[in-house]
Amino acid sequence: MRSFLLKCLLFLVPILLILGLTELFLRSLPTSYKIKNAQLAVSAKNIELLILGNSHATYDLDPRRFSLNAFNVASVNQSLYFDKRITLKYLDELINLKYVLISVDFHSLYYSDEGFRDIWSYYGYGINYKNSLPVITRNCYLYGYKGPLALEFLSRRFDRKYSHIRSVDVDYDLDLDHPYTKGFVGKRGGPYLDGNTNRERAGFFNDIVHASTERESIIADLESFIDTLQRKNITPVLITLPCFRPFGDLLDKKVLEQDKTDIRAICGKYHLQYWDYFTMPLDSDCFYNADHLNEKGAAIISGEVNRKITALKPSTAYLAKTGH
Amino acid sequence: MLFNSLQYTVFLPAVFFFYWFVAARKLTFQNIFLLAASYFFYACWDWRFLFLLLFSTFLDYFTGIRIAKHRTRSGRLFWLLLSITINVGFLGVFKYYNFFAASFAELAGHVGWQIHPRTLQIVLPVGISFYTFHGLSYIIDIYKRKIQPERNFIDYALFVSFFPLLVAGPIERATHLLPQLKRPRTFDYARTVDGLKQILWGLFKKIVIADTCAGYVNMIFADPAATPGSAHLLAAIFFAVQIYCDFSGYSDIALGTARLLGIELLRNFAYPYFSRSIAEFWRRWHISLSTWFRDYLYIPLGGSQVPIWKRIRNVFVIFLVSGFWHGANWTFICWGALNALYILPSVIFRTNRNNLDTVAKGRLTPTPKELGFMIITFALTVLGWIFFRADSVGSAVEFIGKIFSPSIFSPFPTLHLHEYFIIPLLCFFMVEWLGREDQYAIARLGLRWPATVRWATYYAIFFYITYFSSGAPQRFIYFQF
Repeated sequence: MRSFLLKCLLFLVPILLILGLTELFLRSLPTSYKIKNAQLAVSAKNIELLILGNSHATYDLDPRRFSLNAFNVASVNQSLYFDKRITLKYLDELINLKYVLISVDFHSLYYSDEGFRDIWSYYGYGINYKNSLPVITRNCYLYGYKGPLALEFLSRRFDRKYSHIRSVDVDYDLDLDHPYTKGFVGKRGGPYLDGNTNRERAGFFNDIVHASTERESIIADLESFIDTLQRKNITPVLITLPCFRPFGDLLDKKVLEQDKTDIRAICGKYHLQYWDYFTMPLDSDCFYNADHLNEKGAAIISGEVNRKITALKPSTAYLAKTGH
Repeated sequence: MLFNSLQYTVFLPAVFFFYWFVAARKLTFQNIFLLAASYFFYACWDWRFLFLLLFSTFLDYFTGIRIAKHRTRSGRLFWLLLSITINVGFLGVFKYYNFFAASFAELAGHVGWQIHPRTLQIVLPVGISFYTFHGLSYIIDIYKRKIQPERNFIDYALFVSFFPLLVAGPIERATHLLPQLKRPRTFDYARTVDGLKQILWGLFKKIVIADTCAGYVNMIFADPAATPGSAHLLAAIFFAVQIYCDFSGYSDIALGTARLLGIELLRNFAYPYFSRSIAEFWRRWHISLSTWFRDYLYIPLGGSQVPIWKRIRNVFVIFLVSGFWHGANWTFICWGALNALYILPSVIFRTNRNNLDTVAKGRLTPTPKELGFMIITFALTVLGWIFFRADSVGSAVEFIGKIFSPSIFSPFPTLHLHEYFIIPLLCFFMVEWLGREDQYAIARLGLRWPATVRWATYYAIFFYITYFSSGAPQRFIYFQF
């Protein structure tokens, strides 16, 4: 028995050592979530415009193009659930915040969890999705990231291309020369607009929406968020970002109509602005793929949004609503 | 608690150390501890069904003693039938009630009666088919005077509930397991290492091979219309690989776990995909169930020592019942019927006892003839598995139709299949082939190699398991049966 235990220990030592070192590496890894969280914490007092949303807002809205001091806190597949909680986490520190751009896209009102990215958000912002994350996942990064991703992170550690931007999670074609300036990193390359990929992506979004039973609860959560912002004299603006037209035609028309109805109802109720760029005509070389813009497209749309936002007067809606 | 879960990686070492360090002094302590651990293991799934397991255990323990006590055949038969009726009754209610009710309503609908039977919204207690069959074999063996009833309730309860085999077998026999439970067990280094290796190989098969194949298979079966015939063919082959690696992986972990505790369980798989005929395949696939049906159904019906039409009937009975045992769905019955048709010629021409040895025994490669027969056998089983996997008979037929359509020549989509999956897959087949004469594939792998190389191999297997592990453990297919 003693020999068995000794050999077991001997066998396990290298494994535990490697696992331990990998765990330490993953814990210290500056992921995009951690970087955004850190940047937000540092610059919260100066931020005047906060950009929220999923990958559309992540890559389409460049804070450097805004006259106001803007910060992009959107992330790939980030849901309104996380948008709200990240903002609320820093709300007391965002003392100069005037506007919040909330990206509401085709599927935004139909999903709240981010799948495997829930844990990434937890590691970055400490937000535990509906208190559902298991203890082991919260405390063991290797378990949370899973083997393939951990190995990819490790390999990127030794890849010179990514030596100065290890923060990229699992995305490609990013502007590695300007990583995470005001929370933003642009897309380079593309456009990847072939019909099959578009159909596949549209099918993916349609499936999310069709399988969802969350619409009402998400709208209620969004409304409470809007209310909280308005009570702080912050002006929320709902925005829908552009997509490649043939791709847009593949999305469920009924859902698009329902989206519009829901957004109009929310805007009417809270006297909000809604800027719909969904069908905005853009050249194909502005797109990275069917529903994301590249840096060129991001510059155009950001300029357009900036023009509109500078024309707005802060928190007029709230003043109008409350009569103050 | 699943074998491939983190909980089990805590549970098993805890049981191992307590068993050998604390409870090892006395056999009674060992058995009481193992029984408690087994009930805890089962309760982790759903503690309410523990009462069902206890009831089933009490029933067979009690009726076993009653059968042995009675001198008259009618008295013995009464207790036997009582036990069978209650055991099969539970199985019927939990597993088959909804199926029969729905099928009856559908049949009635065809003749103009509109019936709306009440369906039961109940969860199938995990392992019910397995522990029921344990109990039945025990009772029947007592009735046939093959064994004496077990008087020690702890030992009998452990025979039924021993946690490595509780939820998905192997289906043990009292003649094999009970004597082991009554013998003092001491720690044996070689056996323990052997058990660990078998667990490692089982985890590799389940996590690396089966779960990866499952991702592809599930996508194709979920939306068959969206993909060409080539993808259907690949999915069908992958399902064959998946179900083998899933179930034999489970069995390897079960056997390895039992071996860590000094107990040998019945072998459940013997490299079935290296079979040269369907008869050989069924001698190598889910052996504990096949032999159960052979001993308690096929032979009592006359087996192969009866006129030809009865032999044909017996083959169909055993395969249809086997199909139905797997689940309350016409797909399983079709799968059973298809396998009966496959095996029928060999039963009629009495060639089913050919190929009793291992293929290419003592050789590295098979002969072209052996290879040809292996490929044909594999192709036939793949075809059968489509019925096993499909939601309905109609969708299985459609699925097969797509395989035999011109789109079979289209390039198949890789979907989200891992780009390096081919490496472990090829390694798996190679190791299985090289180890086909052993209990499990890596039993003798590298025994003559230097310890560093051998350990490096184990590390490599461990690395693949960690790498392919998706975090949330995937259920074993046979848990649903």
